[in-house]
Amino acid sequence: MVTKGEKQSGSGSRKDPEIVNCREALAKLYSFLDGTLTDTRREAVKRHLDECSPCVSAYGFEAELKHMLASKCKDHVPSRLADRIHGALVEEERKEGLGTKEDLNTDE
Amino acid sequence: MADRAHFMAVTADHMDSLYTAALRMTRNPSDAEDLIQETYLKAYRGFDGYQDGTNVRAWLYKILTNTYINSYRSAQRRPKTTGMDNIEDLYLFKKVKEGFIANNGRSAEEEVLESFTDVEVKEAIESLPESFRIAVLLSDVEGFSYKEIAEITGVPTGTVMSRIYRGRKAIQKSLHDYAIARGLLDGHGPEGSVDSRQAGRNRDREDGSPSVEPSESLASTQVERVCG
Repeated sequence: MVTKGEKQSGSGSRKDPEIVNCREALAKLYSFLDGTLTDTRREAVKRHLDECSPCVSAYGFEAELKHMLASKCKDHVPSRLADRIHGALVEEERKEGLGTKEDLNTDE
Repeated sequence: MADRAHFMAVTADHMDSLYTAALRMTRNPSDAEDLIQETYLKAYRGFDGYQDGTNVRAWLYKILTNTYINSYRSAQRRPKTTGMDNIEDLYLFKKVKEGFIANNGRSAEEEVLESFTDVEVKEAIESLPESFRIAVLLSDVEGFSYKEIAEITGVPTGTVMSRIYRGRKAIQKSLHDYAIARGLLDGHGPEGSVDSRQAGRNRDREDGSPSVEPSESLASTQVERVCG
């Protein structure tokens, strides 16, 4: 992670506190991709990416990797499992129905 | 008692992704099926307390995760994180930049990322220690926010973030091994001698793998290596 000292060293002579250098851009990569940066920080990182193709390359790779993990990790419920769950729920509903009747019967 | 038809209408669309998560959590189809059935029964029993319009997905995942942790987790699968501590940031990206072998006109990044099979990706995730596995699964596969994952798993957001980041690095290391085995990447270097398939399957036992340099000393060179 970036410390305050590092942050200042990368800003050079420019006084804009939202100027982002490569080190900061890479440190914020996951926060950026996961959507947790404030709008201001996000815009600052975007401005850096507009000018820095190596960082764009790193961001692009990590974004693709994240997408790849999601797309290659899908499974589908086997139909017999779906049937089993429906059966279990029907049974649960039936038991609950019986329970209600028994409750009524206790009044006798 | 909840209306079963209403319950199914609200929850049925989530069954595939819950099953995916259950498979990664239990690493066993039979346990995953039992876990899903139990999750749906619990959700049905608790459906009266569920309010229309609240986040049904997060609610279902919370039931799934709690049921898994309470009933399916085995003692031997407690987190062993020793092998995960020295993996540098952007691990796979740097390895691709350094050691790409094939050359057929496409970019190295594209070629390597497209090479991984579904089985490899699932194995890479399943080889993570449990708490990391659940965090990465909920984040990268299921798309939950840090805050939602903190709510689902009952741990602070900072811990969730740390688990996701470390888990991602360990996944990248597994994927790197697969790329070496496929001949896409050069395996020379500290991890190159590790047999990739063994490394992928036996992540939990890989505590004694050749250690890379401490991440502190690597941190200073990372920017130069990425940005030139």
